[in-house]
Amino acid sequence: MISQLRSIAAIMMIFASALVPSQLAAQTAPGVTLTDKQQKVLDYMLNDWNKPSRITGVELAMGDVGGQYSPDDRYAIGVFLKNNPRLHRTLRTFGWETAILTPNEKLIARIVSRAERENQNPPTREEFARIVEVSGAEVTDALEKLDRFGIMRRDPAVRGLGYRMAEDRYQDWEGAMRITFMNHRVQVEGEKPFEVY
Amino acid sequence: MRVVQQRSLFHWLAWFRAFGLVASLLAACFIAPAVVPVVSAQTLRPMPAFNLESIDGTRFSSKALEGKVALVDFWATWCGPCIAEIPRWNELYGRYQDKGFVVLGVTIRSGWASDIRPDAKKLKITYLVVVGNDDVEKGFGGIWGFPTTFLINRKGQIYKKYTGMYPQQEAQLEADIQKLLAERP
Repeated sequence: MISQLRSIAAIMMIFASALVPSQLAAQTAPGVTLTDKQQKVLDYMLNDWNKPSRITGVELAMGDVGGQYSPDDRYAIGVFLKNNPRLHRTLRTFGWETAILTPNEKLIARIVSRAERENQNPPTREEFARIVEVSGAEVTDALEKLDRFGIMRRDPAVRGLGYRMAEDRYQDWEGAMRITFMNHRVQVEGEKPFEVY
Repeated sequence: MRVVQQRSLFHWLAWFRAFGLVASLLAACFIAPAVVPVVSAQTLRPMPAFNLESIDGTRFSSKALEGKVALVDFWATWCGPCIAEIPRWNELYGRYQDKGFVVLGVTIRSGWASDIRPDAKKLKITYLVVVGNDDVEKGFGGIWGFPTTFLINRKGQIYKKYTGMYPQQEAQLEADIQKLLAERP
């Protein structure tokens, strides 16, 4: 009976995946190509990374370039960076994660990472909302993005949060010298904001 | 009244502590010479085994350090203090390599071997440089600051961990190297 149910579920999932818009499927494919609009953001970032100590991430770059960008645009650029470490030494040095996460996502990842390493319970979503000074919905959104990028994963056993780091190695990524989950945003008068390591 | 009682209690505690201290010192005089080396040898942690890519494209196994005194330096190409230490490592390596001393630069968060190679050349590093990873960092107990340097004895144990740069470090490190080189393999 259970095996029959599993077969039905599998068939349903295959049908459901066929109904997903082809554009989204293309964005998540390993050989993803960027739209002109997304390429503009990528070019901006690569140019920024050539400057000393610069590591401006996707979110800020989208704002600096201007125009309308969706979370799917950020995801597409993120997947592209993940699959193309040859693009720039910054990716090979600090990891694609550094360039694609927002400051709030980094802060949440860093706190959960430390809690797991120290065998403590991570903050609840409500506590995170207070710590990060955002709404509960924004915390949920950040957790979902971290999940989508494969950095955290759902785990109902983690009471109050429902997520844990996706891989054990992330538990050691909280240190001062591991800047992946850190953010240093700089605003200089007369210049667009940028990020540094 | 309560204050007087507390004072009296502190008074007795002070005497008790003083007696304990004297007793400990006396005991240490008799048993310390025999106990200390055994205890320290037991508490030293073995260096983790690793096999890493060197920047010249070959593989480097931690087995190659067996029987040697090794200075393992975790550094990054963008870390100023790490770069400042390199001439000292070159100097120590040159001075003691004939006596069984090696320096190993484990480069972390600095890209691929092909990225690091030109930097190592520019910095005139004379010792072996390998590309680190999460496993080797974890094996050494985590790297929480740059530079972090480990001194490994001839038995393959982590003798000391030095974090950061400080004025007395050079003399202290060299004294430790000499001490370890004098030990039997």
